[in-house]
Amino acid sequence: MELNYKQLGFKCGIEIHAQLEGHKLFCNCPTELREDEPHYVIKRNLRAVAGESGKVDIAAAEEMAEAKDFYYQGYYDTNCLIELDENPPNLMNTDALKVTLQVCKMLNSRIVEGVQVMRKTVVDGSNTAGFQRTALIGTDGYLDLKKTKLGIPTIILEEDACRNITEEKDRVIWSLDRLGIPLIEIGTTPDIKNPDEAKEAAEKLGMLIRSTGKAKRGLGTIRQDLNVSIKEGTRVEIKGAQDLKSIPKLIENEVIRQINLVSISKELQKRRVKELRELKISDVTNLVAHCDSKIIKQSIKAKNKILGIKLTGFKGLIGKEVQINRRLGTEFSDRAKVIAGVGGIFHSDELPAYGITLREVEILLQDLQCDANDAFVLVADKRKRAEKALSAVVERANQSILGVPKEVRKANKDNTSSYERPMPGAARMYPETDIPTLRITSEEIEAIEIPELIEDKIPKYEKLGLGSDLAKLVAKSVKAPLFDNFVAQYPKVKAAFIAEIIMTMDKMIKRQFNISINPTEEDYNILFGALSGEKIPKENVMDILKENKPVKEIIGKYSMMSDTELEKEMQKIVSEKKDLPFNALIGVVMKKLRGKASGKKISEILKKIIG
Amino acid sequence: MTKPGDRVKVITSDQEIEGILMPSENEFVVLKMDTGYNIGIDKKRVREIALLSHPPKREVELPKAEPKTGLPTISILHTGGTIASKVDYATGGVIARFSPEEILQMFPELREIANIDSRLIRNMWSGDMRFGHYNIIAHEIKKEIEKGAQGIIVTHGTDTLHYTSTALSFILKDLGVPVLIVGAQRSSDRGSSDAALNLLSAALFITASKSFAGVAICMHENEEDDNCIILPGLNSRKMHSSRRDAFKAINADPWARVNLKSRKVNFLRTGFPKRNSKVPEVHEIKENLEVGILKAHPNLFSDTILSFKGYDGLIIEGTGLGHISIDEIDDLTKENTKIYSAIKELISNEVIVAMTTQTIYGEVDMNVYAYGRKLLDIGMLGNYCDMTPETAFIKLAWLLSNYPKNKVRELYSTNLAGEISKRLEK
Repeated sequence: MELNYKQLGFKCGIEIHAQLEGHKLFCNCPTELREDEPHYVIKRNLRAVAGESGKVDIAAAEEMAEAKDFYYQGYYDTNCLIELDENPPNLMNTDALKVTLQVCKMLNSRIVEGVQVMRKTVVDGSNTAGFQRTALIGTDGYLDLKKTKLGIPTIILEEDACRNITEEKDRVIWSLDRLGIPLIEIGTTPDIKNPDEAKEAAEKLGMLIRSTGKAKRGLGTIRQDLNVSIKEGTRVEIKGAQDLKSIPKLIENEVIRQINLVSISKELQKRRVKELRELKISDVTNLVAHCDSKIIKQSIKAKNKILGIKLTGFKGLIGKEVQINRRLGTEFSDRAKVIAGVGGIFHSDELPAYGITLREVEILLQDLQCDANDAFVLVADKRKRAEKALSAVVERANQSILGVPKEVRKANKDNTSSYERPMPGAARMYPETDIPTLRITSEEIEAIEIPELIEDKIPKYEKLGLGSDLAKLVAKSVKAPLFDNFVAQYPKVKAAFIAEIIMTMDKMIKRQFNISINPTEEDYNILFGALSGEKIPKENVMDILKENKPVKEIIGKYSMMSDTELEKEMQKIVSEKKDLPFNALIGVVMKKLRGKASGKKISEILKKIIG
Repeated sequence: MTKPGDRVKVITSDQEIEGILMPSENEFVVLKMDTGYNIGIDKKRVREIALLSHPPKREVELPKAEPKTGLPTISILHTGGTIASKVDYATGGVIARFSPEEILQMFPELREIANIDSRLIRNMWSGDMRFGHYNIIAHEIKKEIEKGAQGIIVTHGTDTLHYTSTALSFILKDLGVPVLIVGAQRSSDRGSSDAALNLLSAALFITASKSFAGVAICMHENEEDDNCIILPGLNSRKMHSSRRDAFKAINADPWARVNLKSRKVNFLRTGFPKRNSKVPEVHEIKENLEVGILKAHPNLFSDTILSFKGYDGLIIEGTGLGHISIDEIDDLTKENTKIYSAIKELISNEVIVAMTTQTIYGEVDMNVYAYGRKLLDIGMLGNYCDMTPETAFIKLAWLLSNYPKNKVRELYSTNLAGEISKRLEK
């Protein structure tokens, strides 16, 4: 579908979250994600904090009784009492703050002079405290895109939440390893003009953060949220776009979805369909008891109920596609799954099918008193859960009369999205009273240096003689400053060779010899020093590193011979193998003296001897 | 004039920022932005704070706390601390809530356990308490019992909670109902607060344990939100600065474990005082009494000891089995002789001096080493006692308030209410 975004009244803003290296934001634990068995598990509950809405007693008590148990997995050596909410937080990690200030400067933001850490209420258990600590650092910035000056109203430094391990009906398991990792959040104004520009903005923001050299790398270290709407639609937030390439497609699919939902709403209004206020749920278990549907059969075996509800005026619309392979019925089903925890729904637009015959459909239509324009939805589960599911379906159906519901959706692998939760109201935030307001002086801001951007580093490295892939690799790497230092310190060693040694040689050694090496800065310094002083030939570098020992201990045996020594050795060989032709002779000499001198030198001396 | 809660525009030399005015902090005007974030703006840069609008009135009518028939009545007396506070999200301030309606709103599950009466008697940090406060609390407890309460919950800051539990144990004679002192290590504004489980478990313990009477502490048993532990008021101590399970029984076992979810109370030992319908007598601690605590440590000076001259009593937190540096063995230890004379001087001046141990766990035994015996020789009390320094301190103060000195010397080392172990269990 060719879309005219301007005409559609397209609005889009993005939010980027990037994890930082170093230690956690409010304690000294490392920011390591772990795969090994946790050392301990702590069970906790969170209470709805009282007094918010004036909602009292029984309802609130019932809600609390239904609350899930949270299990937190932790590690003695990488988690502490602060992540467990057993100790007040330390002061904010100054390194993380410094990186955030750099980002603020790169984005032309105004830096807040009195930073107050806030507690943002979170009740899903992803924070042991029941809130996330978050602080506004920069406001009123902007980012220059090719065609748009995009506003950056907020730059925030906050703690990442726990990592979700599994979620079941009555309990959620979280890992403490991710909780507290410093996270920079950058939000843009909704002025992005089209899906490709969203990708451009995300890419550029990611590049800026990575240019600090302090961003974490790898899957899940940068997360993008997309806010999308069209004029007749509503703002919808799509979470969890992990790769840049998927961004334009996700946005386009959301626009298509909103266009389709708007057209469904217009059709419903034309049909004069009214919001369903009363839930008239029928038990149709007996009517379908003998059908061939696997789901229904299993359900009846488990003594569950099959409940149905009529949706007046919805015929043909529930089956209408709103995104690729996703119909309005899929959206109904999403709600039923998320809110009531059922496996799914049946709706009349897709029947007869799934073992339900035309005859059974007719009986159902009759029993539910459906007229020509009406549709129905069935759910098979325990009565209470099935009722909750149908009520969620009805709520979503009612919303489709009005158009696009305001909600948070999660990105699917095929770049469509599905329902996650309602759009949260204004965040409930109050000050973190355990941390005093932090003053950032103009002198401190002044002293913050803007790092060289990755996009500027790449051409610079190419000029030093690095191929474009290698130049990109170095520029994006945390080793870039190390590389810059080595290049400055050892001008006699080719920059491209330095880059190869620090960027790719470990992988080559792993591949060829299955040895994992991890050289230190000192190792590299000794190595480059020796190369620079022509003490070792460059052919020896891999042999030295693959020994996987401190370079200073082993470099001696790889040292080159002096010219006199070489000549002496070669004289000996030549006198023994007088009869060999030059080419064969050089082969023998090379084999014997490999690693003791450069090939060039050996050949020169040999030529001299033979004359 | 603008005040916190107003919507304002802060005008500086180069900026105009709108938001809700918060209470200012040191050198900052604090503004809550529409994003929910607070920022500080340097007061020196602020030219004007223009009022845009006053906050809307938000009053929530709470339903009356009607008593249910068949449920016992529990009185909750508040002395402050974080247990009954909630956050006003508009201003970010913490407001304390103490009326029965407000308590039931915060802890609606209480309705199913008991009929609740609730009153604020002081709103203070527990660290600020003085002897006089113990007497006030005791009189209020007595009043509630006279009114017919079947149990009392005293909410309390945690820092000195164990001093209060000890004081009430001595002050309230013939206490015939359970008095549970409850605190919270995480404030009530957060979803992870331990306040609710502690308070609800205390209420459940009062109603489920039909015969228990006396002063006890109810707090988390461990880091999880499952069990609370009922600790003896006379033998407990805050053993961690921040953990939920900071309170531990010392040289004694806890009374019981409470599991709120399953509504179970498991007694871990017996021998507790039994309920009765008597109204307790209040035997106060004198407000103006001077009792001190001194910690023995290397390189101590005799002036420190002499600074307690004129006091009514002194508790020494000795090292090990109950020692303090009094032996002169070389030139460097001459001061120790002065320390010994200083202690002797205090005692001869009618200061009651008693030894405890800074190891917290274990008993004082001054007969094992010669210098312990030297202390006994001059009238040091506390031998064979296993009271914590805090329990010893309160007990000594209470004895001095209610008995003549010769009787105090006799009763100090006598177990009166369970504060000294009869047998030294593991």
